[in-house]
Amino acid sequence: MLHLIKKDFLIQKKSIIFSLFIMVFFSFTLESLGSAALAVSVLSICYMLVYGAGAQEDKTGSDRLLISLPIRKETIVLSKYVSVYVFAAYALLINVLIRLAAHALQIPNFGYPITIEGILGTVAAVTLIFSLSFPMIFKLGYQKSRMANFVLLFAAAFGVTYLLQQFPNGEAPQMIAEYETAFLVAGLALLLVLSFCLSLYFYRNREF
Amino acid sequence: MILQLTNVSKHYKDFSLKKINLSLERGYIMGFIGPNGAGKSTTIKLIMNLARKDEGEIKVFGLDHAKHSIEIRNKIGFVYDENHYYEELTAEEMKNFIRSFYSRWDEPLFQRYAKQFGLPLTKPVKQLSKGMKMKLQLAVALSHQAELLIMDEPTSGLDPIIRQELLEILLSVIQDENKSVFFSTHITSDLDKIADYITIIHNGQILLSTAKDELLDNYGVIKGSKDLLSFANREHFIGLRENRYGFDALVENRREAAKKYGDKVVIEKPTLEEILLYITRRGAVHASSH
Repeated sequence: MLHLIKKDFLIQKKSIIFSLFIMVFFSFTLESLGSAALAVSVLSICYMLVYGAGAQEDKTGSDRLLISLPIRKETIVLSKYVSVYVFAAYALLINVLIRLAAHALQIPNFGYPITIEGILGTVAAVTLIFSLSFPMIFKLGYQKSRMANFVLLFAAAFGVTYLLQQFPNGEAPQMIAEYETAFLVAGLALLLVLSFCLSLYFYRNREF
Repeated sequence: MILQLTNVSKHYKDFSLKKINLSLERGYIMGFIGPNGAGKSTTIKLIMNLARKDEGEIKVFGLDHAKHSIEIRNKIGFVYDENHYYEELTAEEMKNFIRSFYSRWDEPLFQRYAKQFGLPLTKPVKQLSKGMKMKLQLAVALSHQAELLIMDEPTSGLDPIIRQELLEILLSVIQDENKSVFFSTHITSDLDKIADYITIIHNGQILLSTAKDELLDNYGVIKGSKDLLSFANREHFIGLRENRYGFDALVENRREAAKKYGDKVVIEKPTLEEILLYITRRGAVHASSH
């Protein structure tokens, strides 16, 4: 599994460097989104890297290679899900480093807020988006599912932004934490498990 | 048997593989030949679990290919007609990625092949020529103590020198009597020197599967005048072609044919290409008549 995840980074060396510039750019431009900015930044980077890896695999038909190697299909599918969280962790880390650098350089009013609630919300958004998009990817391949997933990403980005803007000063995460955290976590976990099972079912039945 | 297919069928909208049977013993090379679109790649996809069979049984190393897929794939080396390696990785990174999945990877052996083939390991895969990409696939396929090599048109699009090199490597591989090679191609001359068995597929059906020497020793290309043709003997001629001056066809037993027709005909030892041409011509007639 580790090698499959490492491979997703190695085949995108240029995209990884490019993503650093994008995150710096977002720090300047997404400030007005407030607490939703972190989620939009991380989601965009995850989307770019997940689809970047997928596009390369589609182009060379690398699924034929993976299926011919002694790797279980469960491992191939699971590695894609884990990759998303590794990409998200990378994007969160870079966002934090940019913030720290701005603080160290004493740049006033730079970037958007990074809070624990914001990070948890980002992880929830990443889980929601990719739980919905992966079954389509494993059913149709990256290229064919690209448009549907693009619409999904934009709908989610605007949806998250709209919801969070209804509750200024970070009230929303607090309200959710008070009443429905357990319900939300359980719902997302269930969605994730269902999504994995569906993706695995599609991948097992796909022909290459 | 190292590889055995029994009554295997696969149906697509516009093509079907119809109850094919073939078997390969340890220590031999089987040439799997047929025109483009005959079903060679589909058969290989079924063996490699890249597609699901509709009927029949596929056994590799005596094991069901789907139930024991991990165990089987650990002992199979594969070379495909197209590059499926990640273009952005260097040859070294690609090798490191693949080696992590094999339990019996032999790094010194890989390094020996890399040196022998002149592989530039630091170059990205996308910068390698088609010949080099094939050699990289071959070096990887040979470096994890595979007992069965499955090659899907490995020589297509390669220049004659690299093709010859590949064939020589396969000959040296097969010196180990524990290994077998299943080699699909539409370039029959590749098999003249190296194949022990020949299987011909056409329109999704196996038309012939036998030892190459037996095939070349027994079959013959017969040429003669049209007045020798009768309703009764037409049946014995495979892929019969008539023209203004006479006829030509393939016969299964050229000695018998020589005895029967004497010096009224010319009978020659066929090449594999001729056998393929005549046999698939008959196959085409069969297919169109049903």
